[in-house]
Amino acid sequence: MPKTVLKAENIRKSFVTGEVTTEVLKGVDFTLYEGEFVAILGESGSGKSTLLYILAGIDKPTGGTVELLGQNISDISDEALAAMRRRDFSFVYQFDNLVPNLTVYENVTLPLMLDKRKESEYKDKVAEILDYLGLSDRQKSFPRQLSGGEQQRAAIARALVTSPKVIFLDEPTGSLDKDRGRQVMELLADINRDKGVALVMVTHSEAHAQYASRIVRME
Amino acid sequence: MLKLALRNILSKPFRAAATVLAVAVSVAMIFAMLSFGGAVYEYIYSTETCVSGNSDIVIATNSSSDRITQVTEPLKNASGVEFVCPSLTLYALLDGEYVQIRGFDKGESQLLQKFDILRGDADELDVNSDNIVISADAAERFGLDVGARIELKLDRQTAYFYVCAVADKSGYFLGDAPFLFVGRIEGISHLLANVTTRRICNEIYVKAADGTDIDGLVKAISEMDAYSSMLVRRSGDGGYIKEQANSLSAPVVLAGAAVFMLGIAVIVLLFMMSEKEKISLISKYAVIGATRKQIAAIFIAESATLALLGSLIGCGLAVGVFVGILKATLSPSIAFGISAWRLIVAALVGFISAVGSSLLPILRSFRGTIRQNQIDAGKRTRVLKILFPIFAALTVISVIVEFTVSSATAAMSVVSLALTFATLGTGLPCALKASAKPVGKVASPAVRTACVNIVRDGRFARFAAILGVGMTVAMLLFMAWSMTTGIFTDYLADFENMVFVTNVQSTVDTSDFETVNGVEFATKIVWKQGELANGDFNKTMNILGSKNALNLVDFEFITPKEEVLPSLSEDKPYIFVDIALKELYGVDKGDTLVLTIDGKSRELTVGGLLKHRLFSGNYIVMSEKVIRDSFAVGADTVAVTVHGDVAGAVSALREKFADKNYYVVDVLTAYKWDMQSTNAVFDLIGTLAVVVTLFIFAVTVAATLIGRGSARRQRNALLNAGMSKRALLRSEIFEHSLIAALSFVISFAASALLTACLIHALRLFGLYFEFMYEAWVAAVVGLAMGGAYALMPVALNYKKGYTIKKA
Repeated sequence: MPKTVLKAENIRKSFVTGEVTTEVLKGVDFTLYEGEFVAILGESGSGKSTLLYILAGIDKPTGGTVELLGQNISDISDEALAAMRRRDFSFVYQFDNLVPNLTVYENVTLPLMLDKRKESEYKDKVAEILDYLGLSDRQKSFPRQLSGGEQQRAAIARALVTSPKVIFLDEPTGSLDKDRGRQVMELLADINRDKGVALVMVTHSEAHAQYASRIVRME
Repeated sequence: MLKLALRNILSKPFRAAATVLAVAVSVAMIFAMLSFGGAVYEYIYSTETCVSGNSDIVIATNSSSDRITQVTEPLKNASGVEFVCPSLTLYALLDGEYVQIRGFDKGESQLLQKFDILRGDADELDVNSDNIVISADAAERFGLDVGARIELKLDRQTAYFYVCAVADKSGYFLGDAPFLFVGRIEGISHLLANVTTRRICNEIYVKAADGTDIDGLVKAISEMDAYSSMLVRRSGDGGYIKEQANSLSAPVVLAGAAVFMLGIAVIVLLFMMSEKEKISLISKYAVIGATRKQIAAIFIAESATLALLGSLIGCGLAVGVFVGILKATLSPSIAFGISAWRLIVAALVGFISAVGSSLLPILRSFRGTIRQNQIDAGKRTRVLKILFPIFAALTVISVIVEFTVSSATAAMSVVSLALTFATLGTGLPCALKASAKPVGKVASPAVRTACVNIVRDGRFARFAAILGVGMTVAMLLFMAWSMTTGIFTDYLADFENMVFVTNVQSTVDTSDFETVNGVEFATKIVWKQGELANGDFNKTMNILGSKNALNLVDFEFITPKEEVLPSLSEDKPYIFVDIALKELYGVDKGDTLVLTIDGKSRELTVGGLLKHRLFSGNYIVMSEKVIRDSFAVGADTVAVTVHGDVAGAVSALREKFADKNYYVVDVLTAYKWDMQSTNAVFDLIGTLAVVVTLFIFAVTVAATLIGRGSARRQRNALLNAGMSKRALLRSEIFEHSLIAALSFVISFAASALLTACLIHALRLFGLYFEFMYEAWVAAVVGLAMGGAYALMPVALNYKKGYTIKKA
């Protein structure tokens, strides 16, 4: 039986706009196992991104619990959650992931730098990841000098560099064309297979969801 | 973290430069306002003491017409005396114009002050007694230079002198009005008729040894037989100088408080200008695991670096510009001390405001989750909508109390000033949005786009707040300038037909003067300063000692004229004071006050209240006989009113009394000399007002450009959507114009209220004035700033940057 890395129970989320309360998530349960690649599929407005943000501790649920890598993320301190982000899990947005005034190399190594690790410890590994993602010759470029696909690969490189157990991805191909989208999906499948990292990906594309080992549909 | 902070700074060099510049300018403004009062005091002190130099005590004759044979031996032998320096000052005519000629004994001309020689050799004074040193201004005025021979006339006496050196306008020459010539007593005394000895003087200056009790020495000298009949006093009257500096600088010091607050507000708003971007960046750091401490460290390091740079440049700018202005307006020869603590305070205020305000987006982002921050980054705050009505209500209450409860007027005026600025700062953004909403319904896409931006984008609220409050502060500064100038010069018109004849004996028959062609009326007058005090105040007052004083100057009678005139003309022991004393200290008819003239104090009763802008209300009208009886001071001046040609009457008077050693000068000329140092302070205030206004405008421009920099995506989107560059420029011009127009209208209206509050607040400085408001001054300042702001898009060629770039 694979080990559970993420367990969410009875997740509820509602938004209040003026006097109107919209309930986006109504008691969602979710489990992620070690090395699994789960695609959360649904139409716009189904609450799939909201669920992802809650699972990754980026947003707080109105009700329910999220246990990530054995820790109830509602109970732990901001400092501890930040440390988990630097070491145990990563998040990739649809776009605009990178810090604009840092180079690709600096962006990728930023979580390691924030974790106060010495460059000599991770230099080779970063080079390997950049090479793996085809960004070796772009490491001195700034985000504005990259294509959309390159920017997304750089974001994935940054997500990988800390050797996380889980990577959360919010429509990682949403801003890319069909070919580049496919390339990124193949890359993610490779990462999942080669490095054993569990992936939770939100998408509205049935085709891209097929790369996952399990599909969760939200309506 | 520092590396990340530096990368943040370097990634936007223009914004960083504009921020540093704005902090620097704000620090410089704060320093200038903190230092203004001290600089004015320093200048007034230097000019007031230029005659006495480094001496501590001056012994003078009771009347300016008296000469004394030098008696210095008792002083030289007295304990605590370092040196004694006799001096003879006369007024003589050169080419029909009065000049002062001051003599010292051989070898003593630089005992009190050093010459700053530009040409020639001052040591020549000791070679020949008919040599003189003149100022560069005098050399230019009379077309003189080293070696020139001049002819001076006094009464029927004529003497010739030779210019041996030309000096810079410093030392004795700082108060070079009328022009001063410095020579030897031996030579100068040739201008006096019937003089049997050349060892004469009319003043003896005493320098006390270090550690000597000056007041004790004054008392000891006064008790010496040789000087008991003379006036012995300290050389520099610290109290009077302080009062004079205070009354000249008070309006600007008060307006300066507003500049101080504006400087802080600008820095705070500037660092909040890119709040949205910062919150977005904070989310990026947070999502990859940066801790709160790390995030705070990055942004504090960034703002601290900018603030430190800005503060340091600001200190340099402050010292350079402020000292430059002081040298240019007041005197190039006074070494104005730069107060280190003021510089440190200004730099610290700038630094702390900058770093403190940079914490706001950090604290804001720490309140919610990463996701909330991403959603709320551009969310507008409701703080202004809540604060504005609160400040407005408090302002109304404060102003009502200020204007209705007279005992609270002065204190409440400061509260009203602060609250009015707070109301302006919070109300302008609300008014801007309220006005943009209906205007945005017009058909023009450019205007509609501009109005939508104004309503929805918070940066416009900040532009309006900075420009509007800045405009009001600038209006107030110029108003303070206009007010100060008015206070000290407006009343001069009352004296345009008056001539003073001094050096007269107190027994002179004034009817002789009335026989001179053009003279209408002549009266003996004591015109000197005295100290007026009761338990609440002690003020230096200008005394008009004449029972006909009320015929000379057109006073308004607060106490009925029928009561005042008989009391004065019948030489009753009363003093008549300005309504200002009632408003400030509650002095009223029948009160007893202590008047001190030449060291003698007497209790006198207030016979009534008058009203005039003369000496900003610091005058006493009383009978010349009362002064003589109470203080043993006789009139040495005859005030003459003239109809028609004043210059002709002056000449006729000089001619008629040529053998009487009288000194005849029209009052406006006498005032012109007296006002020379005051005029320099007016120039300083004016220059400061202009420079600070330019500074205010510069920070407004910097803030606008910084804020505009963060809206590039918005402009890209509009261009992408098919908006023409021309329409986009029109849209930006409209944004600027609406902000400028609204700021002008509201600031103009507020300036009248703020001026009233400023005038009330002057009571805290012991100054009372009636409401005076120069609408045109406020209008010109507001229109100039508003117009320049509206034209910014064209002047700075916004259109050039309209290219669709990758965001």
